[in-house]
Amino acid sequence: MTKDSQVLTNLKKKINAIQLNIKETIKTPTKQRILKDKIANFFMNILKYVLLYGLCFIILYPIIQQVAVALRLPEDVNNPTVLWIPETFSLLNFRAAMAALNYWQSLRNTVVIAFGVTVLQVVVTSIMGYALARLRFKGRNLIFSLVIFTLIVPYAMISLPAYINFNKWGMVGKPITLFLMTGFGMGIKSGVFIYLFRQFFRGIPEELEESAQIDGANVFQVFLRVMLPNARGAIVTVALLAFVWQWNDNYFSALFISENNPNMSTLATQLQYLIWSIDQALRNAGYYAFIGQDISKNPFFFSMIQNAGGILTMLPLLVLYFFVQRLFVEGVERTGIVG
Amino acid sequence: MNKKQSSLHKKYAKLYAKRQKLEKKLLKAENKNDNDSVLALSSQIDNLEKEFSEVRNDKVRFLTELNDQDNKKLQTLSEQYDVLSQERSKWMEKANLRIAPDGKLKTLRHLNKVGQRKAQKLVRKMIAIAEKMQELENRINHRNQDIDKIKLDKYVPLGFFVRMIKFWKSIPYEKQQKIWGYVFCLPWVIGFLIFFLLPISESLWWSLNVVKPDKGVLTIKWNGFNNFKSLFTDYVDAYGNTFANVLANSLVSLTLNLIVVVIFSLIIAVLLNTKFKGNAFVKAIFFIPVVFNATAIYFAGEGLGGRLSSSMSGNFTIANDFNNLLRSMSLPDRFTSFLVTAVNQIFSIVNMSGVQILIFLAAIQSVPASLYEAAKMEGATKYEMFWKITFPMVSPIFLTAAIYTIIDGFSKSSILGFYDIAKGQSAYGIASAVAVMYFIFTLVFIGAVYYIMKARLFYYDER
Repeated sequence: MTKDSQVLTNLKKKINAIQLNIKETIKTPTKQRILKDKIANFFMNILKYVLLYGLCFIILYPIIQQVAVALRLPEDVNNPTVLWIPETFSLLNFRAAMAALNYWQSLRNTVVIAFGVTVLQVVVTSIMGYALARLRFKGRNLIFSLVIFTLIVPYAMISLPAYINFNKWGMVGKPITLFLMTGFGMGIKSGVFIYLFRQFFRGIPEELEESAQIDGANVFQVFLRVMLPNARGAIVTVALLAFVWQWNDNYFSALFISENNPNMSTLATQLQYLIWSIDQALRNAGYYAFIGQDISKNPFFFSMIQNAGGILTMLPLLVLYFFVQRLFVEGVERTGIVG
Repeated sequence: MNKKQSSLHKKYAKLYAKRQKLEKKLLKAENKNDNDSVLALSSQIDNLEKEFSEVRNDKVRFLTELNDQDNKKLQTLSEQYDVLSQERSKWMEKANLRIAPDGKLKTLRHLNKVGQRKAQKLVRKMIAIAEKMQELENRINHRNQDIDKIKLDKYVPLGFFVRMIKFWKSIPYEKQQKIWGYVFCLPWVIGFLIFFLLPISESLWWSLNVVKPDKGVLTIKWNGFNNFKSLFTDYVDAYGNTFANVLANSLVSLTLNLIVVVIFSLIIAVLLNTKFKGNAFVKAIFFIPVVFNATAIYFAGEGLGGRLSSSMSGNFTIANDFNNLLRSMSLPDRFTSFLVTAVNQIFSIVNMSGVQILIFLAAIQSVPASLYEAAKMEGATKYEMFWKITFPMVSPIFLTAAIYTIIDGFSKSSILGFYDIAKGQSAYGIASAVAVMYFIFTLVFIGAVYYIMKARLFYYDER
């Protein structure tokens, strides 16, 4: 008994001591603060994970849904049991979308135009950015403010007169219109790229340039041999953005090229008229009488094909993106886009 | 002068080349022991030599003439220099005066100051003259060397390109930079004039005229500000809104979007910059909206008018699924509609803020890490670090992000509906008026945002 009671009292003492210890530790302000910080951090972490992954879900959801819908069989349109995973997989929608988009030809056109525009953008805007960042000449600040001004002016101010001018010069309907505009630094958001390159080149230490100068390099050699190799991140960023924006552009491409020359139409412009062309084709073929109104009047019927078309348009870009994604993110982070 | 010089140089180069050819032939002939041709060639060379020596003498005479002129110039310059230096010494005497002529401290100070200033000015002039003299001397030395070489028949005429390169290299680096700067900017300036300034001025002009295409030819008739009047009174967009209405609506939605997008993208950038599991994956996903063209697909959804109506585009948004889910949970209608619009908004905001997140992320990463370390040493919490370090350091970027958001938002604005309507009626004057209104609107909006932000947010000075 006595032994037990002794053990008990000992234990109680120990517990009291521990409690006291805890109380004391909490009482000291620094430790209290650390505890608070830890708790706050914990909740912030939870919030962070929920927010970031939730937003990821929101971004991915439409894409996944598009794929799921596009893979459905057309007859399953009215089937309420098919929600996510199609009951019977079919590539029928893709085939229809491919036919309506005139896929291979449009893909070739898009790649040719986007590639050419990208190369021109990188060359012209990097040179301009370097000149505005490092070369001291009269009117530099004026030119830079004009570059920013070109960004502010909406396309609507330019497109119609430019179209009529191109028509006068007999260039409408050919990709050379876009190449000329980007080649002379007036492409899609060229101002952004010039700004980006300028900020980037300003971040490269001047000593690098000076040492090349002392070694006898002239300005162009300094640019080509010293500045450009150091600007890999900026080049990747600009190239990707230029490529993507040109790929997705359906304003200038439609106005200058494909509205006048359907043979040169790009994927983005074709996608715009996808439904019209399907509707027209089905009507001409007398397909509506065959499938019945419950399917053809259902908006899902078209949106399935349209989803397939959207996937087909975006697929090359997504594949490209996942190849250069790491370089792109790194590039952006090291560019110091800002200054 | 220059013409004479270049013609002489050309003659010299021609004869020199001819002689070299002949000498080569002669060598070949000698190797072959072909006596006849050797004799013929050597006589040819002798003939040529007569001509050549004349040209050489001409050239020497010419060069010495030039040298004499330059020497005269040098003399005058050195005289000027002497005069200037004398003047300078006079002023310097005044500057170094210790006792004023009238004995007053004020006049002494005045004299000292004026003397110093004048002396400095004169020194600048003297330096310029000395540089000129140096240049002239260099030229004269160069010519003297050339004359010696010509007299000894060792002068090799250089080709056009070699001379150009030599000339180019003789330009000092700073001037070269200037020239390269103009060369690099030339394509952009040409593009600016042809593809930007020309269309814009045409748009401005057309907005004040009635413009109709007539068999490929535009007829332009003066109309004053009537285009703008009829735009505000007669035109109605596809949803029956007047132009003024649409302007007001887009102003409100733009302002809201601007605030939400900028704050949202800053928060996301801050979160993305922290360490967490799956960082690379999440980053990769967050930039998909930059690549993925959501608008192309939405545009496609608007097609086919009555047949598909609005039900289709609604059927495929998250909001709709979410709506169904909430309905099945039998929550009150008002609550569900609020949540649904919120989710829908989040989707559009995420899609709008891809580039802005990039901008902020880059800005946050360019903040020097030493600042955070110092703050940690002082015992600052993360919250404090954000408000005291990250926020002020990133604040200049708010303007960049805001302007990008505005431009991006405007390019998707519903004002463009009017533009399309007017263009469809081939009333180019009215279309231009829409564009001009749109432009003014953008300019005013950006100006306002710039003004507000510049006062509030620019703590950190730009480089």
